[in-house]
Amino acid sequence: MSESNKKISLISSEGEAFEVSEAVAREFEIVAHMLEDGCSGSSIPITTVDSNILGKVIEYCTKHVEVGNVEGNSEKAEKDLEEFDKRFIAVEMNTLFSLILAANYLNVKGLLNIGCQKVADTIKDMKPEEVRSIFNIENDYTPAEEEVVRKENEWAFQP
Amino acid sequence: MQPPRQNVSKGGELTIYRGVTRSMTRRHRNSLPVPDDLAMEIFTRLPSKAIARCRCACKLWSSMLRSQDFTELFLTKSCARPQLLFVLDDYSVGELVFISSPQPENPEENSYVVASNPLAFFPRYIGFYGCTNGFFCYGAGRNLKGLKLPVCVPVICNPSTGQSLTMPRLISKKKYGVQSYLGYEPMEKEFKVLSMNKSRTGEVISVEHQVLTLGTKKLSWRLVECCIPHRSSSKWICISGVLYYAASAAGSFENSMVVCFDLRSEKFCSVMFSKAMPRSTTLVNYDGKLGLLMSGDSHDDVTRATTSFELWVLLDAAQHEWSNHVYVLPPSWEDVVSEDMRIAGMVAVNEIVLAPWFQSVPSYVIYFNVERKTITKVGIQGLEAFQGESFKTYLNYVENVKLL
Repeated sequence: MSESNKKISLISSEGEAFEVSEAVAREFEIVAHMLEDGCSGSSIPITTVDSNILGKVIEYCTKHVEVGNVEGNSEKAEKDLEEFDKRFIAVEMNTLFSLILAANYLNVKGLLNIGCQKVADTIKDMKPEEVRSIFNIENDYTPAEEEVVRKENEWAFQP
Repeated sequence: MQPPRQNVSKGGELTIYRGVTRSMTRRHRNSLPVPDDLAMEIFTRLPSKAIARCRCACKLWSSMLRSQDFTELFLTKSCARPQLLFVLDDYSVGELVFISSPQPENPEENSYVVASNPLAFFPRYIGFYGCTNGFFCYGAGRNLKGLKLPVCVPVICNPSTGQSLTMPRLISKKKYGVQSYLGYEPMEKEFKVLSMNKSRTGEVISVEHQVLTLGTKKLSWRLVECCIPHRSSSKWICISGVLYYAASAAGSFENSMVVCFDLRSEKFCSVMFSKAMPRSTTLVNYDGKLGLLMSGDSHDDVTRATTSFELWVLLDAAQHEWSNHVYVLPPSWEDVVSEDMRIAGMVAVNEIVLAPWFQSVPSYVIYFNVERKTITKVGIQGLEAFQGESFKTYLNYVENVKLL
């Protein structure tokens, strides 16, 4: 299909243009919907995502499109992709949340999935104090209230 | 899902406007830096223990993780990944110990090991009932004023949240022979406990049938009418708002019928079974229908000598109509099985799962795939401390983080 060679520009909130193939742009479901609705635009401003994050989301989608196009040897390709995802999502918390927000907004399901899972995996073994510090949460329990809620959930603090 | 609002300008250029969601507009300082629906998506990926710890972080998280929206979403996800639940069945310990592990689906020929995960434990247990929708029902001794001996009352506990709720004393003057069942009624989203006593005079039958609805402010028992003379048993299951339990007719000691209790209408009916059920009989959920799974060839128990299983599926309760499946065991059964087994149940409609009566090290369960005719021993890690103990194994356990 000649369509597949078509290039589309995605414009970040700072106005920076990222030229991508239509196949990659279609990984952004929101863009795919627009193209299906008959929009012939070749330049799509994405006003809520900055260059840094948009660049990363494009990197993610490009990789997934590339791997999806390779025929045969699917098991190895899948493993590679898993490795890629793992490295890709190993970022600090602020970037991680920005990626989740962008993936949600642009409707990139795979990225949203690994992003949410990464946050959950980070919290999973933490004590409440650690959770508070990593998410900048103010402890609004009075000491008495905290004792009650701690007691209620006491079993979860045992190894 | 609807795409966010978009606008096509004259030059053929698109501008995507930020879809302002309600949850984004007014944010609590303690919220995660994402809208509430995404925070929910993240929290539902946590194990139940982590959820309990996160409830201690701050009030906002606590209320979010207690909300019905969250617990229902968590339950839906949990149903997609059912687990094995091991319950230490030892009266001498007087404590119920729960351990879960992921439930392997269609395990391969070679043994497959899953790590086990210790859950909460609960004291003072004297009777053993069973599990529905993530909640477990057992009997506990309760000391009441003016009584020398403790009275048996049902307790509902949640192995995944560590919470338990002791029921009030039954409407009865009797202190023994309590049998309770825990049902879930999906229309009203209510848990109900059905309890009964055994008559101590004349023919031994179940009497004083009574129901209690969980979640009401003042928990209280209501007597319900039952016109079917029967003796209840400890074999039961709850499927789609109906409690089914195996029972014997008055004057008999062999289970030869199934009593059905509709949790919505609170009415009883019974279905006759064509023969006495062997001891090994286990009630299973066969694609939404009641199934009676038992050892075949008139064997009472499941042993190395067992050659087949029988499954009777209830097609029509009113017509007492059952369909019969016979699953002949492959020769490899004898190589794998060395001790007496209990039928734990069925995963989907093709895997019969068996567990030994007593735990040995290494621990295991056996999967019999009735379509492929394969026997697979699945090792369970993490039960080493319970060598020689008796466990009950439940299938399709779902974690429910709803608080009682």
